[in-house]
Amino acid sequence: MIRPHWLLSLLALASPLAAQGTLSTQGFGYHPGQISSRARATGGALGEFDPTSALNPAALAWWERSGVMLEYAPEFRRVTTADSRESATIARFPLSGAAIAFGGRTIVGVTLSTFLDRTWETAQRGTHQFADDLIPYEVEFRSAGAINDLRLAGAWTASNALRVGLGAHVFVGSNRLDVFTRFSDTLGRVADFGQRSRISYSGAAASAGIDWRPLRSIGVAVSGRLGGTLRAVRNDTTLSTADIPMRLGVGLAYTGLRGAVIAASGEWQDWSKLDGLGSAQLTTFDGWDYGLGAELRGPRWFGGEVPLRLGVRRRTLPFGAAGAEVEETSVSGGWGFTIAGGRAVADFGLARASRTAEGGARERATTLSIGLIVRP
Amino acid sequence: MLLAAITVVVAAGACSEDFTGGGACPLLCPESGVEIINDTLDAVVVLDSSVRGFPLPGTESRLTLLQRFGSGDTVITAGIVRFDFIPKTLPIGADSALVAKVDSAELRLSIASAQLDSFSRRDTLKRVPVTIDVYDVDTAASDFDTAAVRARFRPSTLIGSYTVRRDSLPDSVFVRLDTAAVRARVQEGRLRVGLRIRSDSSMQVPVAAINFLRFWARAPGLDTAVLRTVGPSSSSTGEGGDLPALDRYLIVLRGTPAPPPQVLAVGGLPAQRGYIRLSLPSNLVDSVTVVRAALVLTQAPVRGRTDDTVRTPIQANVSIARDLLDIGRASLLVRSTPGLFEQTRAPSDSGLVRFELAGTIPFWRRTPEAELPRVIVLRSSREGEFPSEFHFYSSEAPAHLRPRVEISYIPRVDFSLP
Repeated sequence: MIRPHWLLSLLALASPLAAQGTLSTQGFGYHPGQISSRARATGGALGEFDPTSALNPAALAWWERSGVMLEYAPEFRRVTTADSRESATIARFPLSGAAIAFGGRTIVGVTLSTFLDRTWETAQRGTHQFADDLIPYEVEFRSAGAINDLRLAGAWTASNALRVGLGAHVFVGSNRLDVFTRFSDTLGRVADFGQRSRISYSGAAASAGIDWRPLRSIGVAVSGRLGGTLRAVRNDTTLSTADIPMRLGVGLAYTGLRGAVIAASGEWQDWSKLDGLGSAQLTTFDGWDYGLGAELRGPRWFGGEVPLRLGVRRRTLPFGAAGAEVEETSVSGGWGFTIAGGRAVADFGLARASRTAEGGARERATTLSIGLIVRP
Repeated sequence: MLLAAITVVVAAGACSEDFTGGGACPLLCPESGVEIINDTLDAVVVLDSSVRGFPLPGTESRLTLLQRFGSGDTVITAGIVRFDFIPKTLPIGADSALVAKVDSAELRLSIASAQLDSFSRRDTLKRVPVTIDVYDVDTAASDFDTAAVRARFRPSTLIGSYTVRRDSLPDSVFVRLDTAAVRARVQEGRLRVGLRIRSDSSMQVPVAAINFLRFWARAPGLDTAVLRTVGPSSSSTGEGGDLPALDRYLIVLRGTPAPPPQVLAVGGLPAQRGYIRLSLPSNLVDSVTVVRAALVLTQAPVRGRTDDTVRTPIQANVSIARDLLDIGRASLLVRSTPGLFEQTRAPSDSGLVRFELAGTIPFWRRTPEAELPRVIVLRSSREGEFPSEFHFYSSEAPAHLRPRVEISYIPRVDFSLP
């Protein structure tokens, strides 16, 4: 996840941490999907075709002209177990990017997206017997930061029916890990405990994709990413290494109905390649991410069309909770409209996700997403 | 448009994040283990001793003239005031002449307010006479030969007295001095006086300041007496500041008895400090976070003295001296560290006393033990002002009474990779 202060430091923007105390933030963190507000509103089904998503480099061609984009996606989350229920609010800037058009056929773009967001915090209370005194304390574990995917990609429009693209990825970011223990001793006899460390990540990968229209009403998009080595480093010491997960994605779109795009997508990532990056307790699950959605022509507003979007999505999250696989199912919707005389587009989305795993914990999340695309 | 506005407002509300959890722990918190370990270090003292002679002469905040009566309590203190630079001559026109006669002489003292000295407050209610005696204590001995100075407190050197009922003692006292004695000293250019009290009751008089010596002098050729006012001064003051200004200091004419064996004595007169050098396992200082540490001492009661029930704060300070061999210096150079390093006790108390040291461990961590021995110095907060003496069993006492350190620490938490 990209933290709100991303504009100040791109490296800080790449600060993810695997969250604890929730289902979604186990391990090295939550994988937001690297898709835009538009694609998210269709359950991710349009992700392979969407120029502002960070999946298929060939989709960059749909920028058509130069522009920039930024997305803000706060999540409102509730975790329920047999004994407790907790709510949380997380602000994320999961995606930003820019594209430059060269001539009429070539687009080069840079995208910065959150790959794994490891931001979480837990607080637990207890008591400890010091000599004759029973003193209450609170232990706080805090993790902040993310592994981010910085992609430089180019897309070329070979013909009206075929677009191809290549991308080079750099995975960067860090996790800041804090532990604090505060004792409630009004006499000041007990000192607080604090421990702070920072783990940085670096790695590289390459991606390629195509966007093919075999028929006028059918679109097919395929993309893939092959990863190099991802390193976890603390104080100039490499703690562990692992391969960046390979990713394969495919999308199908049907535009045969007037004013409507119906799409489906599937994506597979072998998250188990990250096993070596963590401790022996880390559990990973190779997983599919399926999406089905539609974008419909809506009412006209201020002279422009307002597309309406709907979608459903089901996927396996990369990291297990207490050893069990975590499944996420979500329904989503959204809309968009043009502003500034067509030079900008604002997309809004709302996704309601349910995350479950064996063991009795359940998580519900509502994610708003606001995307702004400016193409002067 | 309305939907967009609502979305933006709700999204803006998420700018203030709140993602603290923990209710789902430990089910979903495999990394949430913090272990607090309690340990007791018994054989932790490598050297302990009582060091007598505090505060250093000249560093007292006031001169507490004190006299105690009792079976085990016969303390007497005296204040020494030096006027080392007294003009020997008087001006006559453009010339001058040696002082030949002193018409009158007096010494002005300021008595500390009872509001500022709680230990003396009870004495201010006593309706018994107290006499402040002034002695000529000048000697040819070294400035630091206090034995020679003590020997000068005898009837033949008494040069002035002031008697008043204790409950009527004013804030300012003028003690008239023997003019012949003063003249003789003025002609030598210096006067050193000793002050002590006499009373039929245990008593103390805190002298906040010796303001001046004043005398009216005559010289041949002068028709009238000339007033001279001289403030305390010392020719021994070190230029580099390494010597205290000895213009006023306290000596003990009769001190508290020597402590019994197997105890560390703190306080008394002359005041003692308890020197305790510890040997802590290096991993406790360097590798873990100590959240609580306490030096645990067993107090042995001191009874039968006048002030054995008066409660006085005792401080456990850390020595900052880097000299391993000179325990006197190590006991002198001390500082306090954060935490509850002070305990208020009465000499007649007994039982366990804990001096908290958690704030001391981080201080020690900054310097290797080879450079800075781990020394705790116990001292009375009223040393030199009050004869209360506290006894704590030393490392030579039976095992269950010896000093020990109770320590609680948290090892490094393995919180990095998931």
